[in-house]
Amino acid sequence: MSSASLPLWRQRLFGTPATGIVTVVLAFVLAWVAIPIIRWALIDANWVGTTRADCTAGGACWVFIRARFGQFMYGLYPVDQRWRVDLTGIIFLVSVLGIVFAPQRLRLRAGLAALVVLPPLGIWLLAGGFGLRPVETREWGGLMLTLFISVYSSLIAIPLGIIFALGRQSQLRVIRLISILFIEFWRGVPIIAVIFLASLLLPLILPGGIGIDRLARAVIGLGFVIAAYMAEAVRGGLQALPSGQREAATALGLNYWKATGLIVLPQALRISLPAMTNEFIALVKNTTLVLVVSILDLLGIAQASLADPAWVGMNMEAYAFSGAIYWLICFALSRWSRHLESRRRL
Amino acid sequence: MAKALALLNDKRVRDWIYQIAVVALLVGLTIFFVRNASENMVKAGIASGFDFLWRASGIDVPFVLTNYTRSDTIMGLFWVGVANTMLVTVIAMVLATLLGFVVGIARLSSHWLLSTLAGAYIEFVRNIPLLFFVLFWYFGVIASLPAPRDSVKLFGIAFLNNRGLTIPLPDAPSNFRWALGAILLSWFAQWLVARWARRRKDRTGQDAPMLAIGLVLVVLVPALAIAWASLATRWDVPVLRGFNYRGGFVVIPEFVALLAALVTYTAGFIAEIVRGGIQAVPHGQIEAASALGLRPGRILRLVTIPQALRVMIPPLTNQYLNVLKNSSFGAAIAYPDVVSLFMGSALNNTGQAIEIIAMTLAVYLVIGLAVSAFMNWYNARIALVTR
Amino acid sequence: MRMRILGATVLLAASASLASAQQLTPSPTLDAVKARGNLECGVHLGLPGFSFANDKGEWTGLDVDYCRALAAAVLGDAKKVKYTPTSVQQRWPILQSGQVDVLARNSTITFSRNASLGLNFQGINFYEGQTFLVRKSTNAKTAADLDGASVCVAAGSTEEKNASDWFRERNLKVTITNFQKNDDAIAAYDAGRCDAYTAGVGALAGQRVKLKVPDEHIILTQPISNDPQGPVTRWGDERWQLIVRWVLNGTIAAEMLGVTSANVDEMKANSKNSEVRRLLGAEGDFGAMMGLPNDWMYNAIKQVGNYGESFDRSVGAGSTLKLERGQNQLWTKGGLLFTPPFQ
Repeated sequence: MSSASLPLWRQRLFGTPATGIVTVVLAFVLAWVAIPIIRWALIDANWVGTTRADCTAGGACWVFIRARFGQFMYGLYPVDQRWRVDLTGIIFLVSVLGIVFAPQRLRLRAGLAALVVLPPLGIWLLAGGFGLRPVETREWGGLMLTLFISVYSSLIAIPLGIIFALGRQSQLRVIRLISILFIEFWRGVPIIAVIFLASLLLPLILPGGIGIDRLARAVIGLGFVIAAYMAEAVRGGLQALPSGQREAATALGLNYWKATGLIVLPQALRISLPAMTNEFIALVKNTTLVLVVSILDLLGIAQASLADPAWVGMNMEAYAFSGAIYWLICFALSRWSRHLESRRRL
Repeated sequence: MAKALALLNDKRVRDWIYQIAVVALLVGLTIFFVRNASENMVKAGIASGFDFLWRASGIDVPFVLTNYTRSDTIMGLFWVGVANTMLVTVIAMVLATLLGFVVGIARLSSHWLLSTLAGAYIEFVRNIPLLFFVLFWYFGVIASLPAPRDSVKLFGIAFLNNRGLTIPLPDAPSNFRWALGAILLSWFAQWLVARWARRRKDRTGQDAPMLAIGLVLVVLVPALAIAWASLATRWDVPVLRGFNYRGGFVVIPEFVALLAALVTYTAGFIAEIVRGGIQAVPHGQIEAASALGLRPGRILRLVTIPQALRVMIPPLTNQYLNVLKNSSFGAAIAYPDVVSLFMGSALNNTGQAIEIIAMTLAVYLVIGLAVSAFMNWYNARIALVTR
Repeated sequence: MRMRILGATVLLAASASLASAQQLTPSPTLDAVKARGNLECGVHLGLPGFSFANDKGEWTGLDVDYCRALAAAVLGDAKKVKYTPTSVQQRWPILQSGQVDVLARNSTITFSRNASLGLNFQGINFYEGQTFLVRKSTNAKTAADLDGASVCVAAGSTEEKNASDWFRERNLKVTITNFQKNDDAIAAYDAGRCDAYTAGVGALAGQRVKLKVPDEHIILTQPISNDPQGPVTRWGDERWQLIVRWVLNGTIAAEMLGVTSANVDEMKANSKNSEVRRLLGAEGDFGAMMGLPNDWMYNAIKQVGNYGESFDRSVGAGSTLKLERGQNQLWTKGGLLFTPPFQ
């Protein structure tokens, strides 16, 4: 066994002639793809300056991102009010971490309390009123808007999803039918059409004179679609739960709602948490579609910034930067989802 | 009174009350919404009804599979959009499956670099919004192709430039109809022969020379039929005049870019499904197969994949439905699909939003149901038959 | 006696208020604007010269100036405007569903839009003519040279149909690719997807500055169409339509009469011209007839300026677009711009 004496990397890459050939071919492909990208993004890139004229080296002009960083993050949110966005973000983050690391006993209660308190608090901080200067939603934009849409759509989607997942498992035939129709309808149509539909139809079907904010319409539209996907994720958890659990609860004399709320759902939700996280990732990615109704989320603001005559030709920089942010968020979430999954399996 | 209470305590009665209440609520909401909508529309002076479908459309479409022209009706435009949506969806499903299998199997390869690269590809692709892929491929495709004057010439009859791939088109399709008939007939014959051979093998254990027969019936006969049809037909070969090539059929870059985006994006998801499916096959199966002396390629084809498929079909169906829905991203780059043509151009010219959106959603629901039905049928066919 | 006088006064006051209530038909839009304290104005997503937001979110342009003038006339403050950027597709639904009070989004006036979309066009603030943006290297001089070209255009715009009709009538074959947004179309043109990008001359001048190398492209001078553009309202609420129409007329009349933002105070105080005096509210009660303060046009001119001033700083000599007045000159100076008299 001569190969056993080789260092691990040589054994892995050049253990046999066939392996060696594959390695060489792959290395060439890798170099061919990666070297120009690295040169453009790092080696030949421009980092310092304030205007387009400062970008003299051939590579990326990150000066553009620096100049526009505020907009990429906050859109047109008034500069002197941006602390409110940061504060909202910090409050949400701290609360989530607090809940995750809270002792088991308190976790459920803390979670429910956060669910009641945080959403209105977030809207108040961002939109203003009651002592804060009002900031209209049309001034929101960039990453903050992407996150806002994702979070608030899922606040609609998760409860609705749970209701329809339960409905789909229900013994009552009519309820089951309605749930199936709801889920399959929203799962069957493209999100781009739903956002358009929500922005056009919501003002039409409400009594005249009731206006709904443009952003709210997009959030509601997305929320309904994601609710259908969430419902399927929750259904997975419900089906994975041994039926003995509900039977035992019923035998103890709990009625349907108590058995569901106290026994079935807590366990089912824990099982379906990874699947729900994956749906949330899909939601974050799909928020990019709000640009069809001219709401400037991260990608929207990146595109809008390209129209600036002072910064012509920054397409690659804008897309690379915003793409990297989406990637980071989604990658972190998918790692977390996988972590949850593996913990459950153990 | 006591009787009524007893009735209320009856679970069946209570269930019916719940259900009737929910239905009544839904019906009430629907009536409320519809009444508001009709009132608001009358007030705003917006026309309603489906008459607009038979008005002349007057919209030019650069990529038409039907015999639509701009003097046709809006209904004709609708069908152009549906056909284009289906075209890109079907081709993307096939190619994404192929690429997904390749990447998924590479991910499981024992070659460290290969599996790492496949893993990096999967992690990269799955965590970026599809819209980035669409824009990247679109502007990438256009930027990397030459202007019409410097087209890449393929055998002097097809021309690739940043206006698309111009290919010759037959003047008359009649010969090709005959050829298509012959091809379908020979594939049907292949299917019959294969069935006969399988039954004989089950009965007697004898192998039939299926490879040779297959080559003749599946490859040779169709090739001959197409060759005959092409030689017997006059061709409209594109020629460079003025700005671009004239004549022939143009495969537009929007189509190529949307297809490439859908394939590369979906392949990342399919690769994970393939990996999961293969890992779900018990390792003993593979060990048993290699103990029987099967080579790795044959193990993969005969033992692993058939068993993995059973796990993979339901999530694959979901991915196929996603491809269908995601084809609507073509609207962002002017690919004339049903969203872009019908919900875009036609909606603008007629202003009848509700009717048009309803029809567009119906298209996706109907095609989606058809895809699900086909996959369910296939799933039932390959399901483990327990005796 | 005193009682009778008091009674008569009350009666008089009551009948006066009744009379004015009868004169003024209710205007829900005007009431909503006043209650809200700002005007909701639908504009283009971003077209330099017409409606364009800079990186601080400040809007400028010819259409934006109209919105500001309307806000000044109605609310007394040109800053009280909220802009809703709209794409080609969204503009009609957004106006129809009442999300904006007025749409000033360089939209062409056409018969079918007027007849079937429930919209009314309230005058012309820009005579646009459609033409093409091409690369200098193509050597195209007129639209007829574009035979065989592929043309990028925004879907659902009048340009899409105009171009298609124009080439078909002349038996020229072009390939038209429809994009959902003007910006997508111009980006694709810049990337080499199309030989030409078509839009109105004013819009092209605005879009050209977004190209990577603007000097490599020229705008063909000969227009292929006539696209008058102006502010749009919904059907219904005639009084609001009246206001929208006459604020536009007022800015044009001001230029005719030589009233500018610089001399408006002096003109109001000293002008002997009775049309000027009526326009600025020094004579008659034109504002009150529409339910506006009598200094409605005074505010608009004072804060925004007359049409000529707007044109000059948005698209004309004082801007980066450098468009000629051309058809948009006053009719007395050889253009088409016209307003009925303030009488």
